[in-house]
Amino acid sequence: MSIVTRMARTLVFMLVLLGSGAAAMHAQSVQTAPGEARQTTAAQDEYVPIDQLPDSEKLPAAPFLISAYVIVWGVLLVYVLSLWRRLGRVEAELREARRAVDAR
Amino acid sequence: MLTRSVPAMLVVALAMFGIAPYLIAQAPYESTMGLVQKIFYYHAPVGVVMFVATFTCGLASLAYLVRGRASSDRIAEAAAELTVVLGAIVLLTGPLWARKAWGVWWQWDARLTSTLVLWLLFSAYLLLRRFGGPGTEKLAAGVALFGMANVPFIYWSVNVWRTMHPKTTVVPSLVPAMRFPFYWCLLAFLLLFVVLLKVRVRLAEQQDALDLLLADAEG
Repeated sequence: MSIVTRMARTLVFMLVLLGSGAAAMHAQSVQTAPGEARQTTAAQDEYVPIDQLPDSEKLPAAPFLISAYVIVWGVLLVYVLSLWRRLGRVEAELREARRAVDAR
Repeated sequence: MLTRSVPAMLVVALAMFGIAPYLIAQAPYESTMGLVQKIFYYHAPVGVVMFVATFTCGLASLAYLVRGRASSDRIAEAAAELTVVLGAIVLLTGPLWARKAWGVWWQWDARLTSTLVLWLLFSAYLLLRRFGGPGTEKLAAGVALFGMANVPFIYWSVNVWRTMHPKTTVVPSLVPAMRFPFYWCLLAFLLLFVVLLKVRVRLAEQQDALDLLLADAEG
């Protein structure tokens, strides 16, 4: 293969690379055009009001309801366990103290 | 030993709580709030029972200040502890309802703020009893009276001041299908309150008996 043929092939390869690079850059610039970017990110320039939220934006109620009921029973359970533990400890100490007093 | 009425009341209360979810599920949805409004069936009865606990503490404190009986002081201390426990439930379940219904977790309006103040007052009562040392019973009783005086303001605050919280007219105007589960849960929580109060008073009695025995042994 002559040197001229090699140089021609290298030139074609570089042109293909440059062409694909330019096409990729063009595609990226089209995706990030200012007008379209505003539609997908949070508004920064102005707020446009709407009357109704789309359903996908509304908070579902069930997690709040379930959390509330879990809190009610969780707090009560912790308190009952605390009461049970304290009462058991004091009654045990009282029995021991009475035994010690009787032993004297 | 605790009286036999305590286990009996506890069994009845637990049976009522076992049936409550069915009654709440059968109750109709509220038109503007939907599913999340069903927090009401626990939130509001616990709030009412918290007021009962507050009045129990306040009146027992008044009796203690007038007559000086230790039994009144024990009831006051037990009721103050239950006020804080029930108040914590009210203050935690309320924001969960508010976040969905109002769009915010908390609003510094008259009802919510005064309820928080009540909770802080009774927390202060307990801290005073815990760390105040001997002789703070009368000071704590004074705090309890302030706490009790706060209750009417909390109750009527929704009617007097502008607030997002439901008004006092809600409960009397409930339709029968909503009213029944509400009063069912209220009765169950009242029974549970009486049981917990009796057990907590028993704890205070035992603690006093132990302190007396130890003081006698040292003296």
